[in-house]
Amino acid sequence: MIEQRGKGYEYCRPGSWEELAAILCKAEAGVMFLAGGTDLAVDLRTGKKSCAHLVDLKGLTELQGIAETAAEEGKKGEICIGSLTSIHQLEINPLLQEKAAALPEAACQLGSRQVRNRATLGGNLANASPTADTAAPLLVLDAFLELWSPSGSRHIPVEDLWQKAGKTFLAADEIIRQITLPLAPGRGTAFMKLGPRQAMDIAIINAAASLELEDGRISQVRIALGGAGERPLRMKQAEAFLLGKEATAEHFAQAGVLAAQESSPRSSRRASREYRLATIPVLTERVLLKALSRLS
Amino acid sequence: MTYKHEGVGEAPLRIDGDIKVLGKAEYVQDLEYANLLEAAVLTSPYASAKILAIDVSGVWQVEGVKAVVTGRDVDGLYGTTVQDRPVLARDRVRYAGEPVAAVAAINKAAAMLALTKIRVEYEETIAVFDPEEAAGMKEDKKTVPLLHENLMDYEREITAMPVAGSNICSHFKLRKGDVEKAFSEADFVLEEEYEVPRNHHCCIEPYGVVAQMEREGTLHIWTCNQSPYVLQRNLAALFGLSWNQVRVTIPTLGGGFGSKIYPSLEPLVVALAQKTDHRPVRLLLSREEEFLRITNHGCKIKIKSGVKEGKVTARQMAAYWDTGAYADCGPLVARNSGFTFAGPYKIDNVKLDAYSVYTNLPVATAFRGYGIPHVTWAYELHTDRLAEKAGIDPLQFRLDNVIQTGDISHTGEEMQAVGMKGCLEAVAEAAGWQPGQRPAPVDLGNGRYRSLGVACSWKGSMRHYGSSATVRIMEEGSVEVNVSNVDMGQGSSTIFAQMVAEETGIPLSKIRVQHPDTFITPYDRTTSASRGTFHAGTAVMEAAKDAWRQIQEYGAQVFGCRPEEVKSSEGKVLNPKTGEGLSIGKLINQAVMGGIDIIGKGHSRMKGGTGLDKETGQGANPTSFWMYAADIAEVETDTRTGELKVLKIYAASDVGKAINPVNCRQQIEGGVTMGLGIGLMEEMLFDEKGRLLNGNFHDYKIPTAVDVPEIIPLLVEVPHPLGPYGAKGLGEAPVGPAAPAVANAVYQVTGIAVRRSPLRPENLKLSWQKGKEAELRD
Ligand SMILES: Cc1cc2nc3c(=O)[nH]c(=O)nc-3n(C[C@H](O)[C@H](O)[C@H](O)COP(=O)(O)OP(=O)(O)OC[C@H]3O[C@@H](n4cnc5c(N)ncnc54)[C@H](O)[C@@H]3O)c2cc1C
Repeated sequence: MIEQRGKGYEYCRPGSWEELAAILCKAEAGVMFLAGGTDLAVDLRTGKKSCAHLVDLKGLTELQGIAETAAEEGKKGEICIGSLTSIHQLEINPLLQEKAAALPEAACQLGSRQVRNRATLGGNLANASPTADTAAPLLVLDAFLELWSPSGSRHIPVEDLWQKAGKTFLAADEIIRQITLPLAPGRGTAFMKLGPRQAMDIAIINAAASLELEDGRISQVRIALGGAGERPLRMKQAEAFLLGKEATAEHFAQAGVLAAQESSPRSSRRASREYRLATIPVLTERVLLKALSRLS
Repeated sequence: MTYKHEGVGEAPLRIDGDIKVLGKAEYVQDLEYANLLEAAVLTSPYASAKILAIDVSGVWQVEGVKAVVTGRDVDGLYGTTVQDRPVLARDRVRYAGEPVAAVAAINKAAAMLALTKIRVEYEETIAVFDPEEAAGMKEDKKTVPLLHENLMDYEREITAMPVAGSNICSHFKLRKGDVEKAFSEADFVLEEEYEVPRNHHCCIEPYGVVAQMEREGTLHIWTCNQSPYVLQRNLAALFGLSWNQVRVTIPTLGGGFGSKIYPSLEPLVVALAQKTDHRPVRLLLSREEEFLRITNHGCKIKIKSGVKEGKVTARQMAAYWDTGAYADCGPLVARNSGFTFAGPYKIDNVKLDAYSVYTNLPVATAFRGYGIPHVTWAYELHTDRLAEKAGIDPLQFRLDNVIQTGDISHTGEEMQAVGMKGCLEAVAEAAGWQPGQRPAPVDLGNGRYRSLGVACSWKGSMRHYGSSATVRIMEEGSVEVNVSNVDMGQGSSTIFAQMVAEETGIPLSKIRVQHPDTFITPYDRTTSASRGTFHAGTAVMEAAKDAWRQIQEYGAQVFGCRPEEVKSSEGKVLNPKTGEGLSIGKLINQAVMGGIDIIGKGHSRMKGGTGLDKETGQGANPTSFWMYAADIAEVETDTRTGELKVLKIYAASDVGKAINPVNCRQQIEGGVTMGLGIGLMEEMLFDEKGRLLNGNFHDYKIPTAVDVPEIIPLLVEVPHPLGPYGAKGLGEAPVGPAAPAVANAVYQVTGIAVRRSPLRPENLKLSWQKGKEAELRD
């Protein structure tokens, strides 16, 4: 059982949406959702977070899985990922590897094999760490989220999930149900992570990019960084600069400088603001080069 | 005389390998007891404070609480070199994390709950954290609070040389030749400062102790301590018992690396056990508690060298060792790294000062290498700067300067069996680095470069302390080896069994090496200083020879031959006349009608050891043996992000004689890995109040399996005339050169010296930026 510093809590594991709704309507304050627990178990033990009701989502088996909807007339294809899908499942999924490479690339660098077996995509997003490894890839993949609460469901772009470090815009009784990635066949995507260790490490900076070319010029570009601000961020000035330009190393380097300008990293025990600002241009440039290499 | 491939120089599987792999090994926390009580410890939140009042009465509100102790309940002071440490803090606390009160209860939850009922009133006082400042040696901060006002009144060993009215619990000095004159005559002089912050041992097994005051009057301790006899004697003194009343049992132990050498939490658990009705009391630490229990030293080092015609002619150094709130073995670390401080070089003029200094931080202790990794960091980075200034390839510079057999050391010892040059030559050859022709860095594009760096180190063991062993051969032919050297994973029990197999011809499968137990296994000073194979090994070898001699005598009697004609094969004793083999049982039966054990005794009794002079540090025989190690690191440096990828480490060690070559290579791999951890990522971080910020494995980084490069261990064998079969020690020496070799490879690429470890990407990148700015300004 997960230990909570100083006090007890009530644990439940609903098996259906009705049951979950009933629990949420009855419970007053202090509800917390449990997925893999790789963030939450630590935070409850240290006292960083606390709850009166721990609602385990793992009973809702339909929250797990990765499926493709093929493109139809007038509608692009998409990949839907249940929020409780484990990071390991993302890592090994051939569909994602082929069509959204940045995401499995990030997944395989998250924590260790043991952590990846438990950790979930929804948990990584809802935990709202500015350096969550799946955040930057989802930003460049234009992902949107389906949220669910007893009062209904809604869709938001992934960008609109985070307020600041550790804080989302989710309502107290709202969960992430599904993550949807619209498919774009001609793009190249990539992810990179900077940390003091080659495994089991939270990134100091992570970066993802998505690129499309038309007649040798950049026709679509997305750049996202983790660790560059209070939440995972798209680098819109750098993107605007690149649009319509040739995909050259010099342009990517210039985009990197712009990315540093539009970043406002903080100093933490993990790294200083100064170091983050010094490496943002490098990571931005290199992740763009890597995305470009995936095109040809 | 060996059985298959199990004797000396062979590489049989470890005799304790299967029980560990299968999860059958029993560590302290696996032992089961009736009526066990669990202990929990309340620690100080302040680095420096007076204790105005403690009220423990609240603990009795918690059901299941059986005992509570505070500093006022336990008299006496203990400590390895200076007896400066109360079992629990008395009138003041000296570091955040110091035990203040302890509770024993029927389960851990009750004990933890009881801690919350204890009220302690503190008055915070001024703390000091920087060792140089605490020593009163910072120009701008001459007045500092004293941690131990009664320092000069404490009982102490002669190796502790405190300075009255200061926080310096020991000042080790070494004086040889005339450094000032040599500096003035040198072609150039270079002066630098280095720093290695505190890091942690990170044993896989956190500390665990069980103590019981047994009804028959003995104190029985089960603990994960590396030195059962040191502990026995300390506990006896502290609790007024005789040595034969204190039984220390060491079950399987999960890594020590120096963190478990000296008495630790045992006295506290005994204090609780004394308050219960003969019940066993157990204290198992969490990982967070283990981080505060004990740590490695942090150290600041000033180094100045003079070079003339490519030779180092003079070296002056000062080291400020941050030993924390209590001395523990700090004075010995200052001394033992002190006499090797100037590095494995022949230098005629040496002046060294090493200060072991109290600070308001957790207690620092031994760490694999006993200070050598710190001093090697300083003198090996410095050596590359010297070579550069002299315009000589750093490998060649080392080969020109290293100490060799017959040279006189810095303490005046005539060196014997020195393998330093051999280690350098071995790594150079393996890495393809011709002396004098260092390969240029390879440009890998986008700011990445690959380059090579070299470093070397030496390590003395310690004075000639004794070890004893017995080998008992039972009639059925099975053997029990009794020795108090603790196998913590270094493989010593396998080495001892191999020695017995070598001497008796009895197969390894029939040889059992006992867990150390002061009621069973004979005296051994400590499992430390890489001394196990050399000292305990000598004792085991002698005991096995003694047992075999007895068998030969029975053989002579039964076969009608001379004793030395009796040989063994495949566990049988051979009749030299017929060639027929007789089992040991049958032989004993025929000789004396059976019913006896054969008991062989052995001792390592070293002669001729000297101390070191208090004023000059001179002494002709300060250590029973020396070890030598050299590394070449192949490193990829990312100059744009500061990231380092260590690709390969060629690591040579002079082991004298490899009793088990596979085991030796594993020791090198482990040592290099620890050295890289210290050099690349490990650092304990404290806030401005002296509170540990990263005491867990999420925030304190040690290398994972994927961070460890390919390590190519190379064994150099320059036999030691006094070592068993020529063996020296090995455990510690490989730690020192790894990090400096990496740092020197990086320096070749950037030309900007980074003098503080660890080489975290951020430290590197920002130092380079500053270095470049400084260059631009010049
Ligand atoms: C050793 C270790 C290494 C790690 N390394 C990395 C790393 O390299 N990179 C990285 O990004 N992270 C890392 N993490 C953090 C963690 O593993 C990830 O963030 C993980 O994805 C969290 O998922 P989870 O399912 O375990 O979340 P949980 O811990 O169960 O939950 C996390 C938070 O999200 C909420 N939550 C969970 N699911 C939902 C949902 N569907 N809807 C709404 N709210 C929800 C919970 O209430 C909680 O607040 C590491 C953690 C550990 C322990």
